[in-house]
Amino acid sequence: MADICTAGKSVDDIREWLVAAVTQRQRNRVPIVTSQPFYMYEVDSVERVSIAYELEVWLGREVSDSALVEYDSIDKLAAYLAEQ
Amino acid sequence: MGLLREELSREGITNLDVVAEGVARGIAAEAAADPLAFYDMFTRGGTDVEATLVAPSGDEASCIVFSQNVYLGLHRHPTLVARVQEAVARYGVTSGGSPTGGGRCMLHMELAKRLAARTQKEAAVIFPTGYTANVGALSSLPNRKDLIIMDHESHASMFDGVKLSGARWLVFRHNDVADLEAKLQLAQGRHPNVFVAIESVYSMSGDVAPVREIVALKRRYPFYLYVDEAHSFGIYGNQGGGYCATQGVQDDVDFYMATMSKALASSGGFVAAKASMCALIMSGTGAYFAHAAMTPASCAAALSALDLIEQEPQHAARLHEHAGYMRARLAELGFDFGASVGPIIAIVVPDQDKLYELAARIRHDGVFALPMTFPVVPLDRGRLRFVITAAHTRQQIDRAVDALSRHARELGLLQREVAR
Repeated sequence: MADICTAGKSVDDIREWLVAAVTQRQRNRVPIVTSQPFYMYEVDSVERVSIAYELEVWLGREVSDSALVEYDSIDKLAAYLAEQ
Repeated sequence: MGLLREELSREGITNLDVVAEGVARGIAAEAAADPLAFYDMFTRGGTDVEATLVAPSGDEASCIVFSQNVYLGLHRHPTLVARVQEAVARYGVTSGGSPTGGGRCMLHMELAKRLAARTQKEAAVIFPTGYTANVGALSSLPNRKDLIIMDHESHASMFDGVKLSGARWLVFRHNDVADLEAKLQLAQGRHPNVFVAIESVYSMSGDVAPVREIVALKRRYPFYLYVDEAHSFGIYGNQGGGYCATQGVQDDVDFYMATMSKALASSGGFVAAKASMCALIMSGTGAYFAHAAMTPASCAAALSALDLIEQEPQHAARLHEHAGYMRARLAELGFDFGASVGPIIAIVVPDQDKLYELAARIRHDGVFALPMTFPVVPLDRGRLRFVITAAHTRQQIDRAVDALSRHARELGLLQREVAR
């Protein structure tokens, strides 16, 4: 897991991080399509909370787990977080 | 049905009446397809090992039941029943109120002391159920700035407790110590207190936690260890002290939780810990101070069971013999039951349709076990879950294995059959 980072991240950085985070949670690793919703990749409500926490540490700023519900795919979430 | 609700939500359907009607229709459709399919089924004989299952539709089936957790079969033991009758005659049938409202009697006080002694802790807090014990303790111990790291397979009551606490929480992969360590590293220096919450024996898989390795992490990372021993208290260790005791890590467990509705043939739950921590729990959760106390009858049953576990070790021995026998027979036939080691034998059937079909077919042959499917277990790890008790007979276990073998073979589920 990356260190705490206070610098801004690009959409691509965040997308890449999210792909890795989702991939490592899959039992049957299938290629990630970043436009597909998280639930397609075994990211349940419990995992959403964990991803939000890890993302928060990596980005160095608060990330609510509800963000993963409202922005329910890697593409949507990366775009939202990059704009913050 | 929780998944159906999530699906409706994704489709933008959030009106409560519409959601309720959708979920009720889903349940009705499942019941129509198979009236004895698990949701609303009840037994006519209570905790009889052979019971008549009844559906709300009136459909019935007589079965050997492998879904109840009365591990030691003490629920009809004459000594325990007599002690309960005596308690009811002396203290009445209800507690009459919350622990802080005069709802406790001498039996509650004696039980708390006995539980603390049996788990080698300073004190114990008694709750009306195991569920409320987890909710109460895990909601009251952490502060909002604290972090709880939980095994992904932890019981629903543990998740409900941590959510209620308002603290941050996250999960590590089931029994994956390296993943737990990664999470502990991530959390270092970010929270005043960190808790790691696990079960010692997991209810869905029947496998055990690597408690020695997890305890070893305490030397490198400061955290409080919370262990749910619901499925091991009373059946493992000296006088039923639990799985952690068998691994020599009892003293490293900061919070020892267990239920009394399983090996102890009663109802209720408890958390044992340092006396100051118990005081913190008792003052911090309505699940304790605002909840009607455990009934005197339940206290008497639990006290009697604690005595019987000491005096009659044959019940635990018989349980382990039965579990070992069934596991050996299933292994010989080529069944996959994962890493389960105790009286919970969870036969893995990844194909959900075949899993339900297998459950229905063996039920037709008079054997009842619960199918577990996503999201209770991972998507590709559906399982048919057998809970063995000391009250089962060898003949009943044979009947179950024979039915399983026949139908699993017909459904192409046996590994050896597939390999041929």
